[in-house]
Amino acid sequence: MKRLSAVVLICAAALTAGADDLEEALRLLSQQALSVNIVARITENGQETVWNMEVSRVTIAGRAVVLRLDGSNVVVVVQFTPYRENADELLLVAQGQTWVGGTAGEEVKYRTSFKSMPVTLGESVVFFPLGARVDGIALEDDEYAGFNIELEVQVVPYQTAAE
Amino acid sequence: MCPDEKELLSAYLDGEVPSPWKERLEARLQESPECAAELEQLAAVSAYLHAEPEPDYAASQRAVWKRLANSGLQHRPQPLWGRRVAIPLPLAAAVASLLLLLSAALVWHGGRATVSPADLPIAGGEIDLTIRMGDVSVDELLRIINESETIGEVTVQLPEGARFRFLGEPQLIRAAESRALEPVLVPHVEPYLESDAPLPD
Repeated sequence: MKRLSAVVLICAAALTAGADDLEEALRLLSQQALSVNIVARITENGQETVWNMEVSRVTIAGRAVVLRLDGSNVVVVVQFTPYRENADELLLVAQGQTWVGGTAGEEVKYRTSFKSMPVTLGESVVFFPLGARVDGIALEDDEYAGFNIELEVQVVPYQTAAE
Repeated sequence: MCPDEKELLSAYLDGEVPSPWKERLEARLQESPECAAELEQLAAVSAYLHAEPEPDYAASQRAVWKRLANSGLQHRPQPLWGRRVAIPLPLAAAVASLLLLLSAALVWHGGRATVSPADLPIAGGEIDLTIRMGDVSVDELLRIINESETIGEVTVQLPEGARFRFLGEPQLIRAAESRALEPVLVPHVEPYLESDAPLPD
């Protein structure tokens, strides 16, 4: 299905651009493509990074890159969608859904958020699905130990990323 | 020059490239030995995978069917509330109309009495919904989420043992500003209850 979508996307780009040459269509598509680089981190007490992972996906303006994080008591599903404002600026939309479970028998809490921010190509933004500040965390609370999740996102042109 | 898109060559191999791009790609393949070699390599991999014999699942299937048959599923007698009762059409229409009128009256009265613009949720804002799911485990929650077609394109497994909770509202911050955030940690203090006991130091 993804392959067929890519084929349709390539064919649509060729049709829209009026390009007769397949290579021309691919060149136009690669010019419009964006590379979304995501660094997922787990921090402790808002300072030390105890785990991280890098993910990079290619997309086009208006098409979301979806990231899902599965933990022992948390599930985070985030959609990052870039929209072109002009040649160097875009609007990044982050739509997050977070499920957090307590200990056995406790309720599962759910939060959804819809955030947007104008950014320039290459600028990094950070999305905190659980909140940004580690406020009021008891130091003696060993169960949670002040862990937080950060998603640092950077959008660059695909051609720049491929070089 | 051969197109960099390997997915395009793979799609062509599977017969998924429509005309006229199929003919153009075939012409390009004839002109470019590199492209033809790459296509041949993809075809070889596909042929190798298809040459492997399909495993025999018959024994596993019989074991599963046997387990299902022995699971104790039996026909239960239909309860009283499950039995079909014939109701005359005029009576049913009269009851339905009465219910509709009552519902409309409740909605009209309730709407005029309680809802104000300030109470309406702001579009695009945050919704904090607490779901009490009793004994549902996180594994069961994952199954429910998977069935609701919210699977992301990239799934990352977080390390075991790390437990999380909501620390505040989800936020989207520029990276430079986020580094300025300082964590505020407070020592755990027992709540003070009114009593004759002296104040803690």
